Amino acid sequence: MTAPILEIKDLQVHFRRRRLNPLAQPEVVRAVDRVSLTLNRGQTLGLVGESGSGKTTVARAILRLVPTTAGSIELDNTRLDEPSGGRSHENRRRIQYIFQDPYSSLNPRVRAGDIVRSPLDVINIGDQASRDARVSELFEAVGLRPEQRGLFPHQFSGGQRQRINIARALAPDPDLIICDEPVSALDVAIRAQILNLLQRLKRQRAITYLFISHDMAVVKHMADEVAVMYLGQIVEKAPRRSFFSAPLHPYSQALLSAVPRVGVGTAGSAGRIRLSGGPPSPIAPPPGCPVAPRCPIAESRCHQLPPELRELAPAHSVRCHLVENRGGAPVSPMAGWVATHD
Amino acid sequence: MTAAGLLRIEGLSVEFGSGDNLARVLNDVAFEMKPCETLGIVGESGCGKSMTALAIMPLVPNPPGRISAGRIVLGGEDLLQATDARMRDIRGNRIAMIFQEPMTSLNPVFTVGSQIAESLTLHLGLSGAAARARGVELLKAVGIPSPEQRFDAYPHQLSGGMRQRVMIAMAIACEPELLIADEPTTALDVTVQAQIFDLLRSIQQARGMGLILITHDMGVIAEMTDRVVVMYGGRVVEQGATRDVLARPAHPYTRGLVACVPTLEMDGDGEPADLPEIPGVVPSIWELQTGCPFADRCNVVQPWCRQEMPAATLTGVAHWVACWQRQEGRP
Repeated sequence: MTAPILEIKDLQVHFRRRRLNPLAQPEVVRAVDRVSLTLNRGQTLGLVGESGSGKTTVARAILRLVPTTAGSIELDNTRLDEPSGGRSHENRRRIQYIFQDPYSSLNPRVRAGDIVRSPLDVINIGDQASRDARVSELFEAVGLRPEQRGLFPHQFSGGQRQRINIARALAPDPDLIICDEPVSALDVAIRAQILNLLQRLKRQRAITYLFISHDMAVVKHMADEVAVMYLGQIVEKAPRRSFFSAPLHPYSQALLSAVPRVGVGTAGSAGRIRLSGGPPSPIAPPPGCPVAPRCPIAESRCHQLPPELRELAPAHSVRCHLVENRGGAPVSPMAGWVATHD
Repeated sequence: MTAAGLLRIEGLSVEFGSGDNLARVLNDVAFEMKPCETLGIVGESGCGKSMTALAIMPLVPNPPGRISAGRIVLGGEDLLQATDARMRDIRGNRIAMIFQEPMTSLNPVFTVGSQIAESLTLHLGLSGAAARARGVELLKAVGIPSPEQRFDAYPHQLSGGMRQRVMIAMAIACEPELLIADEPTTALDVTVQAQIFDLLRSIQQARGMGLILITHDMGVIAEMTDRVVVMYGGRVVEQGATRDVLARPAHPYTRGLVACVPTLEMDGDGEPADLPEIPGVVPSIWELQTGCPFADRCNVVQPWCRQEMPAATLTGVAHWVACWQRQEGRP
């Protein structure tokens, strides 16, 4: 295994919301609650979960776009969550971001070439001539033609705009790129083009990705390691292969079984693990396991006692009371469970 | 087909603009549906899926758009010949539609109950307590907890999944023969998507409706539909029973759509291989093509593909494809 590049330890991001009554205690939204993650150099960590699970807040905390409440974020042993570390140009250069929406993340009044060039101008890398050469090189690297530099964003298709976003992220030669749902807004046929481009760039430039997505199949294609978030917490963390071949947490299994598949057809819905309702409010999380209110096999202790994240197999951690170790290997509590229909 | 069909669309074309600015967004679209059948329409954005749905209603914005040719026959009646008054009677009553974005398709200043009651009042003549009782019953039928309270809730007080359930309750209020769902789960999380599909399936079975499901997700097509229509560039390029089309996709575009999505099926230990791409992008509707609209992105393109659109030919049992590869001879 390669050396870690980014280490997040016990990260908490809480938002306070004042109530109408000035004397009342403010409500606290626990957007990210004691999250620890390690990103290894040249690898991709897939961060999955439903909307509101805190995936994007983790990414924003890494970039210091939200204040952290507790915990530490270290990039090669430099604390990013301290004022000196997070604001230095060098650390800004090393982490770049690709946003979900290729329409709203590009300034409509700036030409594509200038968009890609802007990180070089801001961080002050190279001289004028070398910046221009770099922009041309980046356009070719992401599959655009250098003569398209003079066009405005509206003259590009969605997939091309996402290529501009990728070129902008690559411009300052970063070590880590945070991809926040980079293909969710794109058409299926265009998704494959962008995913292949991201994989090729990773191989060529030894880039590390934090790949945020709600699409399990896309994460399986992209990630070397997977972390599943639910209500601000990591509920399962595992290498790609063990996660997708033997997921342990009932929530992970429900997420995987909810994906409609071509190969399975109408039979796919029959054995599905159904979660009722939606996630609970992060303002008043349930006292026990956050998944318990929706979990088909929750026991009374699940509703009372919050489970800890336990490492039950090499590099495979899970936050569930009901996962047991049998004969040296963890066994999913869903094993032998049969879907019942109402 | 026989008179027992629910819906028959023949030679449907929709144009926008005129003269040099003419865009043909639908071109000779034809398909049929049986009662209680689920038909999927699949394709990329801009291929004409949603426009087909709007044309069935018929709600093509006019001007600038117009239905320039074709017939839409619902239970023996040609909807394109019906008067506006007659259409108002049919729309929401015999055909209903669910839209992609449950937030923008509900009116934020009215309670969800009053929005459900509206079509009950309009089409069924229910009012007051009767409409309310029926509305609460519908909310219960779509799985909304404590429906009596939710009846008086405003859309912003409900989650995305709940709003989509309200949309479904509104759509099935008058027991339509045909329900059109245009990407009903795109804005929802996958666990909620699974709930909505379960709901649509059970309602369809209980009430015997026809369902047109518009999506870009081949997985959804596989799981939900009996038959599938693949659209590209405003044309139907392939249609047939879902299992046949997915098992033996005959059109290069269908093959690309099936292959280019990452799957959850387990593969080897190493890094996954690159996904097969469909190169290029959907052509602009303003480019008037003479040949096959897919020619520029096709990996088996021939010179004659750019000159003439191939007719739909039979390649299996009720499995049609419009591709020169499957034609005997060429122009």
